[in-house]
Amino acid sequence: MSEQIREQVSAFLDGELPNSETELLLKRLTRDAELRESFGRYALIGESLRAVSLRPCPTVSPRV
Amino acid sequence: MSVEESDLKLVEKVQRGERAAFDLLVLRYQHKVLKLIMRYVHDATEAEDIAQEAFVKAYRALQSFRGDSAFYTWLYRIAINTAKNALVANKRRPMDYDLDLQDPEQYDLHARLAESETPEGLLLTDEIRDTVNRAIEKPTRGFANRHRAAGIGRIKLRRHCADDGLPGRYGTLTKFFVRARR
Repeated sequence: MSEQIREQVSAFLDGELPNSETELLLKRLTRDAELRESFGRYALIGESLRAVSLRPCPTVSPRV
Repeated sequence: MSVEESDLKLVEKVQRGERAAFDLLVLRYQHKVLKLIMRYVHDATEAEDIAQEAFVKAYRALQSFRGDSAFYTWLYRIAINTAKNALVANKRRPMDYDLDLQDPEQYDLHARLAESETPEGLLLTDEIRDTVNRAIEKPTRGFANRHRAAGIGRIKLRRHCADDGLPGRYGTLTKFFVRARR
């Protein structure tokens, strides 16, 4: 899998891939199972990066 | 192309009979949907079953999707309804409370809902995030070489992680993720 395609997958998931490149990438993605697997990994990583911990901060409460 | 536009493009492909296009929608949204469902169901296996059911329902209903709302908004409603139905089927009350600030008795209820994460779950979530952050902050020699070779181009964070640190395969990651959210 070329660097360029992986970069396109990443940009696609971020909603940043130019329209002109999207159709070809989607064709590749629907045909190539390995590329779809990468697509899934990138989606998961993006979701992990966006995750925000809801854990309360233990150092704040005593000061309030 | 924005996320909403590309979703619509995928939906149109599914409507024309391209099943693999639906796989892409599932891959894109399965984690979001799982997190959503786990607000209602705290058992990871049950949540996965409900997520699967929600996606199957979405697939069956997709022919009638006309793009009046964003695809994820539409999917979100299906997932919520599927989760609520599952709770009702199991004779459990859906945790769908409206917060009434005039009613102090509700404070405790909401506090308990907010603290449904277990220490172990939080730790696992943190481990995933730490691994991701380490991968971003400390690229390996191989990565640095590739980066130099490619020039300083537009390389996305998630690819750094995929190439340089997160544990092996997608399935393993998914399991970690589900356990972390349990």
